[in-house]
Amino acid sequence: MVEKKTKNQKRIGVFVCHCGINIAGTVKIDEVLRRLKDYPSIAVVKDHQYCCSDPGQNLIKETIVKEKLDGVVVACCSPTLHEPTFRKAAASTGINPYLCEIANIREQCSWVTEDKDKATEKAVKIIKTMVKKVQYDEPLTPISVPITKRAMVIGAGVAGIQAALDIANAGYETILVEKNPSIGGHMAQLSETFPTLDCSQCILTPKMVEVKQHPNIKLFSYSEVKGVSGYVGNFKVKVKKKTRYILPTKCNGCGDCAIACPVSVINEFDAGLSKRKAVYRPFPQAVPNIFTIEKKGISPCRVACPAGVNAHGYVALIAAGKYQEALDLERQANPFASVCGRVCNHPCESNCNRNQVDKPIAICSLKRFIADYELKKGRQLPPPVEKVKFDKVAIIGGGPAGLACAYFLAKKGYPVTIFEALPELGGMLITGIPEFRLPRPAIKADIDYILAHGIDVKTNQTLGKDFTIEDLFNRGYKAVFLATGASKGLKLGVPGENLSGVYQVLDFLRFVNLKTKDLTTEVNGKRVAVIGGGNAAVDAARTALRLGAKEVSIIYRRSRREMPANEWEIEEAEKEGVKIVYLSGPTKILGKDNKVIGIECQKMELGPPDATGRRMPIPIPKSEFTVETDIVILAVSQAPDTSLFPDLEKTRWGAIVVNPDNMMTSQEGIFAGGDLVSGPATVIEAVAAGRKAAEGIEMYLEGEELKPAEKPNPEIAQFTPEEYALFKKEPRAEMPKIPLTERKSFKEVELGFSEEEAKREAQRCLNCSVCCECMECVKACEAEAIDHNLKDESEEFEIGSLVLATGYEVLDKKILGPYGNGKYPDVIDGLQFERILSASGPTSGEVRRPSDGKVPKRVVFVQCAGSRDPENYMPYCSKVCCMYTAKHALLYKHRVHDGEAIIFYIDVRTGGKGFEEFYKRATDEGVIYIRGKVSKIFEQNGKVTVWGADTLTGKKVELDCDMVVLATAMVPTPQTKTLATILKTALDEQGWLVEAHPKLRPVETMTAGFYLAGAGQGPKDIPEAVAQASAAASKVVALFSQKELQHAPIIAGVDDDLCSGCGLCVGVCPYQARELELKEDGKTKKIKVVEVLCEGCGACSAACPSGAAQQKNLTDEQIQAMVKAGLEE
Amino acid sequence: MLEKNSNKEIISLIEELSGQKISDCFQCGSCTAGCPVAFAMEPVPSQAIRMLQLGMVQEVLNSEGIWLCAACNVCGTRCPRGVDYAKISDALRALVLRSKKNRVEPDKISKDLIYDAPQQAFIAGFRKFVG
Amino acid sequence: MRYPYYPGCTLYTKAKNLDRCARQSAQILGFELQELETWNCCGAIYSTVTDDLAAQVGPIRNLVQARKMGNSLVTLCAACYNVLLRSHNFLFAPGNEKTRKRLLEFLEEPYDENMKVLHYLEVLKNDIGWDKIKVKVKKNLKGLKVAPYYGCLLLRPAEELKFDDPDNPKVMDELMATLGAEPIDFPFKGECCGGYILVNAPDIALKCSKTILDSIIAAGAECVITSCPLCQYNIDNQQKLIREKSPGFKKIPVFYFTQLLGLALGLEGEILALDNHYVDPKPLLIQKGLING
Repeated sequence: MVEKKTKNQKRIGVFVCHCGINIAGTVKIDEVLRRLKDYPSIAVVKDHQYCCSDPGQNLIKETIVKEKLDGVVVACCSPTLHEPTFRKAAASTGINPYLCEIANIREQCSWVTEDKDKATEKAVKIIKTMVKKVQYDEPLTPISVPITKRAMVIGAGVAGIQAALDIANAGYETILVEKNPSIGGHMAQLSETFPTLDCSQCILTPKMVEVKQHPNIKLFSYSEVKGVSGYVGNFKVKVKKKTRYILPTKCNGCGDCAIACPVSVINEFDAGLSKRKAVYRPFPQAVPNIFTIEKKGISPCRVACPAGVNAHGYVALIAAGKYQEALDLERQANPFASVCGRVCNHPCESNCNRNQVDKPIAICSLKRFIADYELKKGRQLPPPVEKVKFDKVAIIGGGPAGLACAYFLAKKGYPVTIFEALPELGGMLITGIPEFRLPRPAIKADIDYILAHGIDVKTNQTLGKDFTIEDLFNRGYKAVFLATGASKGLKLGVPGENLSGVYQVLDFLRFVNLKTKDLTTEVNGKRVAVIGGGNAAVDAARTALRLGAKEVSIIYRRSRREMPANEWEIEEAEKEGVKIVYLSGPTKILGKDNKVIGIECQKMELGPPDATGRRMPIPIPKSEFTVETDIVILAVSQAPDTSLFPDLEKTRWGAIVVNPDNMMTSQEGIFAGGDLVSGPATVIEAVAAGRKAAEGIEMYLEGEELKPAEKPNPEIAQFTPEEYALFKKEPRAEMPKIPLTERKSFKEVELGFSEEEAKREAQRCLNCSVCCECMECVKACEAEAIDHNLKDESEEFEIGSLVLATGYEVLDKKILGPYGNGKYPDVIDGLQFERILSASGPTSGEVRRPSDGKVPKRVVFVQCAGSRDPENYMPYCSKVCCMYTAKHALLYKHRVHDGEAIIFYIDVRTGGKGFEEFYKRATDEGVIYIRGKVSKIFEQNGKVTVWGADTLTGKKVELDCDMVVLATAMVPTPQTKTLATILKTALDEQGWLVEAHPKLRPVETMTAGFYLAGAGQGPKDIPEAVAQASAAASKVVALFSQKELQHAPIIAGVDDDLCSGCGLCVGVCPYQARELELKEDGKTKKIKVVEVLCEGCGACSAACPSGAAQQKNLTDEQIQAMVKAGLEE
Repeated sequence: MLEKNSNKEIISLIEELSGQKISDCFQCGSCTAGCPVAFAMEPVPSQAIRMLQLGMVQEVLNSEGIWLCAACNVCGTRCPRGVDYAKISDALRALVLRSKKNRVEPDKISKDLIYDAPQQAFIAGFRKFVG
Repeated sequence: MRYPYYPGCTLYTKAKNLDRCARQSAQILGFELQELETWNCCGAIYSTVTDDLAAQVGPIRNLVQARKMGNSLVTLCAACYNVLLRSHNFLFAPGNEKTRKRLLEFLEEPYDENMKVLHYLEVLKNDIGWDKIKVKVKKNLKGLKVAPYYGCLLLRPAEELKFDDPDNPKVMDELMATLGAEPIDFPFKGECCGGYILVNAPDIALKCSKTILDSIIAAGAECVITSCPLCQYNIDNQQKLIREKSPGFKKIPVFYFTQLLGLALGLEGEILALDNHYVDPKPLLIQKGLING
C-alpha cells in the first residue's frame, strides 16, 4: 500500500476510453486529452479504443508503473460495469484499488446527447470532478464478514425443488418454504409435458420424494415468509407456519377425515373442475402426505346465535345426509331442537351471508327437520347420566331457561331437581305459544329428551306457597337457579281497562293453550282488537280468529318496520285475515254497562329514535278515532313478578340483577336467568341464559374462582362482492303450509320439509368458513391427529442466501370480456384442460366437457388469450402457450380419434430443442392451424361459437364447436408482490421479479445474496425453469464456498474529536450500524460504528450536525472540491 | 407492392387524418374476426391495413371494402395494438369523397326507404357517402 | 332536478314514443328534461377524420347552448349521445387546444370542460338510482322476458364513452330487473344492427339485423328494447323484409326502453304510442295483463 500523500502531491493518470464509437462517436477524445493535459495533479492522460480489453488494461498497468502513478481515473462506462475490472488492474500494480475511480462519460454523457461540443464539455467536467475525488481518496481495505452457510428457497414448484436439491446436494443445509399444503407447484397439475410427452407427475414425484427424504433439506409447506433482515451472508428470515389443525407427526394420510367431512368446496388443484372437502390433501402424491383443514374465520350464523349453536355445522351435516350427527351437534348447545326449529326468531338467518346472493339458508326449518326426522324413524332416548357429582342443585321454574340449565348440569353429572308451579313443564312454551305454531308433541319431544338425562321433577310446587328458597338450602341443595319467567301483564294506563271483555294477552293465551277456560262462546262471531305489536299480540290475534272471531285487528303505535313480532308471523296473520292498524295508540277503552264496545285511539307520527333505537311514536293532536270492538286484548308488555325475592337486588324496572359472568344474584348460591332477568325475551335467549347459569353454578360448586367470560371477537367469515357475484342464485326452499281454509282449527300451520327439500336447502350453504367445526373428522381419525385448537406458529432462521422461486398463475379468464368473462362452462383455460387430460383429474383422463360431460367432437384452441395485447391485457408473449397448445391438440386427438382440433394463432413460436419438430408432428397428425386472433366467443343453443379470422386467406372464420380451450397468459402470483415488498426487491410493471442484468446476471437480483429461479421472473417452460434453478443454486454454492465475504469499505466513520455524542445518527441509520457508548471518562457519550452493518448510505453524515460522521472517500470536503471542479470554466 | 416510399406522403396523410399509426398493426386479424360485415368486405380490415403497410394505397382507395364499414368500432375496441380501423376507413373514405366522387347519389335512394327509415340513417349515410 | 335536454331530429318525428315516455317518466321520478331553446342536428354520426372541423360545429353548437342552461346535457338517442359526447371530448383532447380555440371563436360562444354529456340511462342509474325507481313502479313487469339490445353507439368506443362494459353491458338489464321484468342475456347485445349502411348496402344491413334477432329469439326473449331510433328501425321494421326472405321467421315486438319504463310507472294510452311499431306489441302486453285489450 502506498503511504498516504497529501492531495496535491498525488500523481494521477487519466485514461479515456473510446468504447468503440459509443463514446468517441460523440465525445471529441482529442480535445478532452488536450484540455486535461495540464490540469493540476494529472500526471498523464491517455486514451484507448477499449480500455476494458486486455491491451487496454495493460496500457493502464504499464503507465501506472512507468509514471509512478498513485491515483487513476478511467473515463468510460458506468462503474456498475467496469469499476471492479479497473480496480483489479490497478491493484495488480500495487496501488490501492480504492484510489482508482471511474468517470462515467458514456451513460451520463455520450449516450444522452448528440451535440458533440456539449458532450465533450461535459466529459471534461466529469473527469475533472473524479480527478478531484482521487486527490482526496484514501487507501482502504475491504471489511471481511462471516457467512451463514444455510440457504432458503421460497416456492417449491419444480424450480424451487431443483434449486433446493442442488444446494442440499452440495452439502449445505437448505430450508424450503412453500405456501401450499403440498410441494410440486403447477407442474404437479400438468398431464404430459412437451415436446417429449412424458408424464409430468411421473418425472416430478421422484424429485418431490427426494426433497422430503433429503437430510439437508428442511421443508416448511403451508408456510409463508413474513419478514427479512440482515445482509448477504447473514440474513434473518421470519417464517409463518400456518396450522393445518392436524399434527404432522401423527397424520398417516389415510383420508378417513375427508370421508367424514360434510363440507365440499371448490378444488383448486383441479382448477375448479371438481370439489374437495374442507379437510383435504391436494392430490394423492402430495408431499408431505398430510391432510389440511381449511378455516376462514367463523361463519356468521354461528356468531349470531345467542346460545352459540353451530348452525353451519348442522346445516353441513344435513347437506351430507348425516341427520343424527346434525341433531347431536345442535343439542351440544341447545336441547330444544324441536321447539326452536319451530318458533326461534333465528338471528342466524338474518346474518347468513347467502343474503348477499339471494335468500338466507332456511336454518331454522332445517333444525326442525332433523328433530322431526329423529322422531319419525323412532328414537332411542339417551340413558341417564351417571351422577358423578354430589352437590344438589334446585331449579325453580320449568320453562326453557330452567330446563336448559337442568340439562347442562345433568350432563355434567349433577343431581338436579326442577320445581314447577304448574302441573306440567314447559313454562311459556305451553302457556304462551299457541298450538298452531308449536304443538304439544313438539314440546314434549324436547322435554322428554332433556329429562332422559336424569332430572328429578316436582310439579305443582309454587315458590312461596309450597316452599321457600331457605327450605331448599336446608334440604341440602347447594345452589338454586331461579327461572320463574316474566308473566305479569302490564297495564296500558288508560281508562276502561277493567271493563269486562278486556284481557291480558298471557291470560288469554293461557286459557286457550291449557284449555283452562273455554273462550269460544265469548269470542265466536265477535270483533276482537289486540293492542301491541309483539309476537304475543300476533299469536293472540291468530288465536282469536281460530276461536271464530268475525273480525280481528291489531292496533300498533308505530309502523310495520318497528313491529317487534317476527315478520313471517305478521305475514301469516294478514293472510289469515288479521287487520293491522298502524300508528295508532289507544287513549281510552269505551264501555257500555261495563262491557267493552270499542277503543278510542289517536293517530301517531314517528319522531326521533328512542333508547331501543326504534322511532318514537308522537300523538297527532285532534286525530282521535274509534275502533268498534267487543273484546280487547292487552299485549303491551310483560314484567317478571319479583315480589317473591324481596332481598335480591333488582333493576329499575324490577328484574333480578345477576353477575353476567356466572348469572349469580346478589345472594351467594342463588342464580337466576331467563325472562326473570332479561324481561320478555326469546326461547333461544332463555336457553343461552340457562347454559351460562349451569356453567356459573358448576364454577361455584367446584370452588373455581370466577373467571370473567372472555369476550370473543371472532373473525367473521366474509366474501368479496366479486366472490358473491360468482355464486349461482338458487331458490330458498319454501316451507309447506296447510291451506288458509284449514286455519280455523289449531292444527300446526307449517308442515316441515321433506328429506329431499331439507338436503337441497342445506346444500345451498356457502360454507363461509369452509371448515364448519362439526368435529366429525376428530371422531373419524384413529391416529388422533386432529386438533382444532392448534395455532399458527412462526420461526426465525439465520441464512446466508435466498432463492426466489415464486412461480406464476394463469390469467383469470373472468377478465376476458370478449371471451365471455368466464361465464361459459365449456370455455376453459389451459390449466383446466391439463386437469381434464390428467389421469388423476376430474374425468380421470377422459376428455369430457364441463357443462354436460359429453365428449367434445370439435375443440377450438385459442392462443394469445390475454398475451401480446398491450392495449387490453398483458403486453408480453407468454412463451409456453404455442407449445402446450400444440400438445393439447395432439393429446386431444390421441384421446378422441374422430375429434377435430383447430388452433387459432398469431404466430407459432417454437424456439427450443425439439419444439419445431413437435409442431410439425401436430400438423402431421391433423391438427388444423388458422392464423388469426379470435375476437369473440359465445355460447348459444348448446354450441360454442368462435369468431376468428384467417389472415392468410383474408377471410372471417365463424366456427361452431363443443369446447374452447383458452391459452390464457402467464401472470405473476399475487404472493410474489407481497414477498417483493417484504424482501425489498424489484418487480417490473407486470409484477415479475427483476433480474440484476437481462443478459449478464439473469439469475441474480439487485440485492446481493438473493437469486431467481423459475417463472417468478417471467414466463418460462419447465426445462428453462429447471436450468435457471440450477444456475441459482450454483450461485448460492459459489457464495458459500468462500471462507468469508468482503464488505466494501466505503462506510461512514466517526471523528471522535468532533463527535458530541448527540446520537442523531443512531436514529437515522437504517442498518443499526451506529451505537452510542460511554467514553473512557465514563460520563460523556460517543458513537461506535459497527462497520459490518454499515451499507454506506450516508444518512448519518447528512444528519450529523458537527460533521463528525464522514463517509470514507466521500467526505464533505471532498465533495465540495468535486463540485467546484465540476463548475470550473 | 412495397411502393411505400413512393406513397410516403399520402400514407402519412392517412395516418394524420385517422390519428392511427399504420405500422402498429401486427396483423393478428382480430379486427376482421370481430367485424360484423367482414363476410362481405373486400378487402377485410386487416388486409386493408396490410396493403397500406406495403404502400398499396390506390388499391385500397379503389376497393369496395372501405364503404361497408358501419363504424361500429368493434375492431378498434378489441385491437391489441390500439389500431382503430374504423378511423382509418373513415379517413380513406374522406380522401375519396374529397376528390368529388360521391358514393351514393341521394336522389337515387328508394322512396319507401326514405319514408320508413329514421332520418338519422340518411344524414349519417350522406355524411359518409356524399362528398 | 332539471336537466338540459337534447331530443334530436328523429325523436321529433319517427321516434316520438322514445321521447314522450322519457319526459313523462322523468316527471314521475322527480326530474325534468328541459329542452334546449335552440338546437340543431348533431350530425347523426361522429366524424373521426381529424381535420373535419365542419362536422364538429353542429354538435358543439348544441353543447354550447346546453352550457348556458347548466353543466350537463341529457340525450336519449344513442347516436346523439355518441356524437355529442365525442365532440366534447374532441374539444378537450390533449393537443387540440388550437382547434378548440378556432371552433369556439367561430361559434362566438363561451364553453368549458365542466360539461357532462349524459345518456338518460345514466341519469336513471346514477342520479335517481334503481331503489328509488323500484318504489315508483305501479305496474310490475313480472314475467316479461326482455332482451336489452344496446347496439354500438352506447358502448363504443368504450374508453371514450365510459358508459358500460362493452362486452357485458348491464345498465338496461338492471333497469328491466328494477321494473320487475326478466332481462334475457344474449351474446349479441352489443353487435351492430347494420346502422346507416342500410342506405348503401341494405342486404348486408339486413343480415346484421337478422343475426341479432335470431340470437334474441333463441335466448327465449318475448320482446326487445333499444335506445336508438336506427337500431329500432333495423330490429323492428326490418322484420318485414326478414319475413319475406325467410318465411319461417317468428316476429318479436321491439320497444324503446322508455316505453317499458313508462308502462311500469303507470303511463297509459297515447303517451306510450304503442302503434308506432312494425311488430304490434299490444298482444304481448295484453297477454301479460299489462294493458287492457
